[in-house]
Amino acid sequence: MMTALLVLTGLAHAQEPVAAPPPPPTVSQRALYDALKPREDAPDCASLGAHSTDLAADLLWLVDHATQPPWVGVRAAQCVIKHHHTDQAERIKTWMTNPEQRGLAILAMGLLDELPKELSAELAQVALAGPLADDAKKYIAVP
Amino acid sequence: MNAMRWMALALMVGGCEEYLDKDPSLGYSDGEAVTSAGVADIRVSITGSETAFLLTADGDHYVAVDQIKDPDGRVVFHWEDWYSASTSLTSAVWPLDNEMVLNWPIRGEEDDLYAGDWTVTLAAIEAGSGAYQNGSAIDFTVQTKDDPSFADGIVNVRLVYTEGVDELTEVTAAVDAAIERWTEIWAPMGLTPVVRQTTSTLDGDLPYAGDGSESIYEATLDSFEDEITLLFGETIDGSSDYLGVAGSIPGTLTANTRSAVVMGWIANAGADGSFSALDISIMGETMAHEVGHFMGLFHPVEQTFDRWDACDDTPNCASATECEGVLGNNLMYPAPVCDFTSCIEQDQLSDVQVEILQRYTGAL
Repeated sequence: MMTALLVLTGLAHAQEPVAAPPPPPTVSQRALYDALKPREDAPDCASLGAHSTDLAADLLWLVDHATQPPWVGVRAAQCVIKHHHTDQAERIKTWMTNPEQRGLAILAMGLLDELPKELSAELAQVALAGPLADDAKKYIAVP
Repeated sequence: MNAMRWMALALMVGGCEEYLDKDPSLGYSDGEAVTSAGVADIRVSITGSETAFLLTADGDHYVAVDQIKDPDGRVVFHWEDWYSASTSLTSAVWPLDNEMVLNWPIRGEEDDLYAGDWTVTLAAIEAGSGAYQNGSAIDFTVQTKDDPSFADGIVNVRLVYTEGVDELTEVTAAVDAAIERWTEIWAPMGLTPVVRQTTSTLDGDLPYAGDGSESIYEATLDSFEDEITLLFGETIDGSSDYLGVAGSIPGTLTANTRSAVVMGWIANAGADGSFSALDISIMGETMAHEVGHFMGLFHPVEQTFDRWDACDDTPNCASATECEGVLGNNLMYPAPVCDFTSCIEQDQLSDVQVEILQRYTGAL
């Protein structure tokens, strides 16, 4: 009986899904990561273009995969919000309602006044109606 | 205005008599000098037991230190030795602003203070042209410490939460844990941060401390004369680009527009907005790093890899790969050494870096 339990436990463990390792960074992603890593003197977003031919995509890769140091993903997301919001509006919208990306949601909430009015209103509406509504009430200036 | 005297007045009015029992731990004097031939001499009288002084100046024009003479008239510091050097000893040598801060001595290789009149010559310099200015007024304060040992000490810090951040329990818990990490980092160097946490009505978006701000000046007025002020808010300068910024290298213990370290929690928490154990550890390193700047430490190598600190025991490396190899675990390295999902601990300081921290007038 004990042997059977051990075997079954072992099987159950073996069947647990294993998270796929993140894809290795490209040269561009590595260069962007190194540029965004310093404690002080963060580069301005415009200068990051020198590191990548597909900047928005590479910044989003960092948002998704560079968890340390913690500010790299935040800085990458900030550049996406400020300079790629038109193309990445749907992606930014997902941040506004995802509790696992609450830091990005708060970041975006603080930058709404830098976005086109229509997009800003749409993002605010999504945030206020979603699971991060408490943060939205705090960080979005409701007219 | 002198922060300590203002504090005493405020506490008397507020009826908080217990704080009035806190004995001043630093000597204090102040005055005004007027430049002649572009410079003014500030006399720092040492009676014998003082071991370091902190000179804070605020002039009509940009102010920089020209030279320092010991009581026997020997020049122990001259601006030309450091102004264009590829190694940095103190930002007081550069005319960057009307405010200037100088701590002396800086390293162990500078002679200890001894009794007599030390003379600090300050230059008043016009922004833009760089021309020396005559008849320019410079207000100054001098704080001194009697520290019998440069081998150990405490550093008093007043951590000020901006409005509402003190109510974010996950953030305050992370700050508490980060302070523990900071304490752990400093312990082998004989230093202990003693952190007094307070609340405020400051806006959560803090100013960039290096640019100076009246709100920093006003917030620092409530700090004791021996406390480094650390403002802890949400963002810095409307951005999540900054984790933390020190007002100057070194910073002052009296109130001016750069007399604080500022930190924002959002960039330190990362994309998920919550603090993992590693986030907290790195935030503790960032606290120790920024306060290290405030106490006089430069990066051992700058991010451009062509400027270094003035510590002869931190290698003058010249590329990212080389520098991460020889300095990557140094607390003052400009960037953490990480592989996208984890980072190595940055908690080491060289002997000379520790000498600088221990000689800072706020290290008691």
